[in-house]
Amino acid sequence: MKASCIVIGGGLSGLAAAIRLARFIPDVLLLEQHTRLGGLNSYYYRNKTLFETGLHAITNYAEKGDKRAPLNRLLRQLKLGRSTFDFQQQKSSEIIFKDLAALRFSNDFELLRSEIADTFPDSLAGFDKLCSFLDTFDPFQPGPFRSAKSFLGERIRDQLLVDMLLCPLMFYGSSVENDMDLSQFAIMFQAIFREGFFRPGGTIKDFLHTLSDHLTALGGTIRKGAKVGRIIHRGKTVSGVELTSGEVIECDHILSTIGSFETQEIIGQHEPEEKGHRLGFIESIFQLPATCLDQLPRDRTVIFFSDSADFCYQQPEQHVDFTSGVICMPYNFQNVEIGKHFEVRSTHLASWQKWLQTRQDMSRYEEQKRAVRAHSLAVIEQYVGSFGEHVIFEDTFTPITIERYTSKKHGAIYGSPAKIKDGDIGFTNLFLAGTDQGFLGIVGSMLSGVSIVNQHILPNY
Amino acid sequence: MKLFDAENEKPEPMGEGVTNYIAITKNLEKPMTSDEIKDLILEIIEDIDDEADFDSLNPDEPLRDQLDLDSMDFLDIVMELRKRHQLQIPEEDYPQLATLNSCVKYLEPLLKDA
Repeated sequence: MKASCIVIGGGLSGLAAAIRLARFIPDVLLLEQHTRLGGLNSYYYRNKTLFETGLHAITNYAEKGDKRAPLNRLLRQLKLGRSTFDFQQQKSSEIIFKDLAALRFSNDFELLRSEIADTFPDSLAGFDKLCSFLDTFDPFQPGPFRSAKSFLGERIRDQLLVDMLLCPLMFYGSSVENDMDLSQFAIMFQAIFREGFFRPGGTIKDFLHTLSDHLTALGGTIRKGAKVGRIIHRGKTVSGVELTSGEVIECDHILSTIGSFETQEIIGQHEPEEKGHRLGFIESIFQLPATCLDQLPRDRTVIFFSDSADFCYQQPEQHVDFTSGVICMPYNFQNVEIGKHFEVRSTHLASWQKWLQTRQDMSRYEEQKRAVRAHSLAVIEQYVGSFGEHVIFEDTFTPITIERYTSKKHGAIYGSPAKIKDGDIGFTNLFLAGTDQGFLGIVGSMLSGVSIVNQHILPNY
Repeated sequence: MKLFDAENEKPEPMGEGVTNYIAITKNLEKPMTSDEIKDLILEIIEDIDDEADFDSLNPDEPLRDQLDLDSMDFLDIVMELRKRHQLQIPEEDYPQLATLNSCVKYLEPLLKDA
């Protein structure tokens, strides 16, 4: 079998890359090792109910006419009309540092600014200066790592505000411990605070269907259950892939979205393990009957919290770091139709190593999962009110679960701390897109797929 | 929106279907006129962005600034030209497609053989 271009990985960056390629090139082939598309943003069924994995909220909300906005650029590049989707905006979100301060924000940037004016009046001038700096700063210019934490620290008087601003940006997209690159900060600040959260109407399954149908309509092919065992290459030129089934598929170009280390592995080059930890996460879902809606917040979509001023974003020593986390209430997007059930989700940082050790003994692992979920519930109830007694279904994904279903090494959803911004991994016709290229979030990862195709494949095809 | 100039929009005289047909087929063999090239470019842009506003477009000013296009949109113009007219435009020539008039100047000789 032969294809013009092979895209490895059917997550959102792979789907976007394949759509972009298929618009102009025939015989594009997308290979996904699992039987379902979506990668980190997928779904599963329990008790005849569809549960989403990954997706809390999509960042980068933009109104229709804003041509330069990443969301609209992405839709143009993929030739997907906005009317294809029914976008639902967040109601509002909040950053809460317990007993210290709380800041609400929404898709109207003014809300955050006025909250800062009220709570941190001494830092407002610094915050405004930061905003005007970001207006002119180009985060896409390549450059060395610049600490966002110290940059903010020099401009904003209240250290607490610095940590509160960093908290959501870290939880929604940093692969680096306790700090982030200034460019990454600028991108995430824009994505989360300036633009804000939304989600597509329906479920992630519907969203994935729209993308896969579009790809197929453009002449692309999707093969699920097709795991690449080896990339066939001679020197710095690739000529195809060998699936684990033994089948060989020849091609002219390959775009890999499975991570830089993971790609090196199937090329047969074993890179030394990178410095710094990969950050693991644990997520729990609590499903509730619609009758207890009144007991929970109706106007908060996502809450980012820390139990103390001293917010740490790092791999914990224990299984889970309960001192901070994210609470997502997906029923609180605008115009969501709530059926018989709704759910609350919690996310915390977690240690892949610890969970791996525990996994040696399956019953201990299951016991640990239950204990951690109960603990997480008690933690988030402090922020949203108690609801535990009404839970009808609950489930937990550990870093091991995430690693198993997404093949993200160590279950690190944001990939390696080292990013390869230009997607160039030293081959003439093999490039990297997706998480380890460095754009994060759903819009970011999709734009990553598109931009690497634009940069490296389309002009040379 | 003025995509076509007024002269081309004049109604054709009735009863000349056959002559028209010959004229059209002949037209296909003829190299594209500069107006046709302009229309082609505008049609491609409209396909990229259905909200594009051509009313006040200055043919000597960069398309990108006037229509709020970015480099990603610009690549679409190049790729559509390749798809529709099998034109391979090397990257170093992209600047020559900056304005509507420079597009015509650059594409006219290339579309002669198309």
